Amino acid sequence: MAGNRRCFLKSVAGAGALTILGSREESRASGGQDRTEGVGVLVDCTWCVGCRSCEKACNAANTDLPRRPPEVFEDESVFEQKRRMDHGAYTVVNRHQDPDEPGKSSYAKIQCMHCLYPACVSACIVGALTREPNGPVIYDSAKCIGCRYCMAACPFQVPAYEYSDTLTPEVRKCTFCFQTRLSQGEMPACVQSCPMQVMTFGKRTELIRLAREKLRKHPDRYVPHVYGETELGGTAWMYLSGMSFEKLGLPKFGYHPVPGFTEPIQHALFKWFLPPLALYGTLGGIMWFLKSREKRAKAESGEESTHER
Amino acid sequence: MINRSTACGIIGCLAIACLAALGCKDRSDSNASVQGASPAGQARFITISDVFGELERPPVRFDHDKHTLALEKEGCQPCHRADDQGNFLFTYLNVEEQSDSTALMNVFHDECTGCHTSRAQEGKETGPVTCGECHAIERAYDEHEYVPVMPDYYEVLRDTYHSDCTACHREPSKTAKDAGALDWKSFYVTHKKTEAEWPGVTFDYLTHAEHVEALEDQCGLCHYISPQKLEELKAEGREPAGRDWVWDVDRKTSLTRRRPAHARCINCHLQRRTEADEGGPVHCGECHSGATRTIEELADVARPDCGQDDMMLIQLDQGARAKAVAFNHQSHVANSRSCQDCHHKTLRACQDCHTVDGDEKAHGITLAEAHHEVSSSRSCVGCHEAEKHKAECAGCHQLMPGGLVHAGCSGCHTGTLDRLQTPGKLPPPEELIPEDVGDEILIGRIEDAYGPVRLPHLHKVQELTEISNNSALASYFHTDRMTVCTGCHHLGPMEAKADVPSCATCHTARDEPGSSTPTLLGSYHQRCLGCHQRMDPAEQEMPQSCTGCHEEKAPGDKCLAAAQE
Repeated sequence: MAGNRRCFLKSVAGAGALTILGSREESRASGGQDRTEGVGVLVDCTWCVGCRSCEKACNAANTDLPRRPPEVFEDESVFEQKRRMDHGAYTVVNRHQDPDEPGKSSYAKIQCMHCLYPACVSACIVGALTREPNGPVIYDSAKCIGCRYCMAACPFQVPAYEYSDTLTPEVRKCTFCFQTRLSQGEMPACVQSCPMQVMTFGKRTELIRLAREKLRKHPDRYVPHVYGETELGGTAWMYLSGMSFEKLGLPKFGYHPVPGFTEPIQHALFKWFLPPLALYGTLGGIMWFLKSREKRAKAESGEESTHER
Repeated sequence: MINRSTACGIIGCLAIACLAALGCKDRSDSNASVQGASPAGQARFITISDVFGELERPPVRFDHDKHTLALEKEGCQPCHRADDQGNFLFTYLNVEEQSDSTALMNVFHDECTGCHTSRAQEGKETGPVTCGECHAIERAYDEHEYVPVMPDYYEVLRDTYHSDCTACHREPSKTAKDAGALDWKSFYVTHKKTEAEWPGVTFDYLTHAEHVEALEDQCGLCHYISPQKLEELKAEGREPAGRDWVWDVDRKTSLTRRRPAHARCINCHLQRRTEADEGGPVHCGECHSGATRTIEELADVARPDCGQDDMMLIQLDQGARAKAVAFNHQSHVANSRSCQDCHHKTLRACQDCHTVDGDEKAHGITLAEAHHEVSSSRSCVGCHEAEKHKAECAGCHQLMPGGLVHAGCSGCHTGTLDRLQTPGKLPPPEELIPEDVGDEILIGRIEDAYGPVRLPHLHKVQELTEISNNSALASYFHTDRMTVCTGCHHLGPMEAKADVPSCATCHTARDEPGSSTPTLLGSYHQRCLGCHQRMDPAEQEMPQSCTGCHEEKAPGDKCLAAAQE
């Protein structure tokens, strides 16, 4: 009995040790790749005037979105409510009132942040979402099975779903104009169209340099932080703002990528399928032991009863 | 038997999950933020840690206003003793005389609960008597609060990495080992959050004028003057006047200190209340209101006569390398809320404490820093920078790098009072603008969906010239006669009547990835619209919509069709 319990504990500890080994190996493997060398966009919210030209240009450039007449984008009443991206828009502009300073407000455009370590890509079980080596996180509707894990995984709650389409619904999120414009050597439509030049497109490393230069030159204009430089391991779209980023609906995140936390657990648990095997093996062993003991007890009691007789 | 096996299974599962989680422990997020300083509140916690040390019970949260209101009839007598002249000493009974902790504790226990009990017996409104009612665990009380101390060079390092100390230094709850080579200890102080701080008392020119009137010019009732100074003045044969009253500071009686201020202000207010049914406030929040009046609200209030020269040259006695700074004291008095806006509580000359090399009296802040620190609201440069954010200035100044980078030394260090006495005015625009530049300029180089913009160039320059000439500050610092042009034509150098380079010379119509120079489209909109938004936030005169500047094109327009394609 005692020997068996020791055996059980040993096997559990062994399985645990293997799990840890597995996770260590995994973390080394994913940490090696340098993802900071890609393209990105720097959004300087202090210049945004809420003209919605970017929304208009986005709709015009992305023909898979439902068509909207240009006049729709001149309506300023939309700023009365906070909007999110939906199946009909890859980007939206919101007006954010500063709760601490009444009268002070700032516009901010939101879209997919194109994370360097995208949680959606990590969560997608069929590989419909991929990250291009130069930055854009793109979606392949042909592979998508509509599980919407990406929507649950995204820390910025970006991906939207075509709930209205019953037959062939797709996940919708900003494409970075990857296929339509970037691959033709053009900038994303929103960047190109902005009359205030809120957005600057370029190499991410260059943009960080530019952002720092802006912060140094105009320290009173900006909150001294480049949002997206380090958040969740970094994002391709980065923000500068005159009011705190939380007030613009950009949450305070740590420096570690989301998949960096979830993947090792997942991968470790299923490494060579060992832990489940170990678990069920152990449970099976216990069952076998109990069964055999029961049998032995029965046999013994049978012997005893015959003895008595 | 079955129960036992199920339990074993569950334990096994849990063990595996725990071990798996352990494997990922090293990457768990550690972005706990540093707590901010305590907000202004009405109650304070009584800890007296220098006598009691670590408390056995949670500290008592004491609400002073609650007591003053409850004891309205009795006055201060129940809690504060008076001296021979009947002036209250604003300490709690005889706690000052107690040297050992048990005796001190007994004073609080006997007097507080004693009073509460006797009031209860008399059937009056009263307070708690049992231990836990006073020594309650308060959520607001957090014994250790970590407050980051910014080093002096923090402003220099202020960039994206240094905005968040915990990025490298880790939060203080971690052990020093976790922080690696970077030691957080030097960046944080443990701050015992025992007192909810009241906002300081705002003693502006209006409050001063009210006191002067009520006390019939008896400056000595509040201000201190040393016997030596009195002797000196007697030798000179004159009465103390002006800044003689603010020159000496007596540590025991200075009203800038907490204890003497409370003793003298409140006693005076109480006495005057009994004599003539007036007198000032006596409740905490009435003085410590945190309310401030703006300079505009104080515009008509007479400023105290401090006997200072209206204009002067600020020159160091020794060790000065730069030329003296011409300074208009009178105009600064008119544009401040109280003397303390620039002078600290002492009202001494700057260099008395801020020495050239930095002195402990001024926490090591040198004379140069005291005048030039951009982040300070008291320094010359800091305050002038803040002025540039005003609507009428911000239009041009929004894109100019601020502080000393732009102005250079010679802007202030002129060494002469000439310019201060005869301020220069900007010339009328007609003297500066070349003849061939029309009163209106048509901007249509990158015309597409909207029509070209008609910029009322002459009118705008006239407006800006007027703003500059009406402001004493701007008149003094806008020394170059072309200053008004640099708001838009920011790169100069320019001469009167000479052509300036076109915007498109640098700001090309082509969008270059990662370029720090805005495109022509971006730079026009940023300059024009950015200025309109800052100078006219209410959008009353300066247009801020597309059609405010541009003509809208008719649907059949060729350009529009091309743009839409």
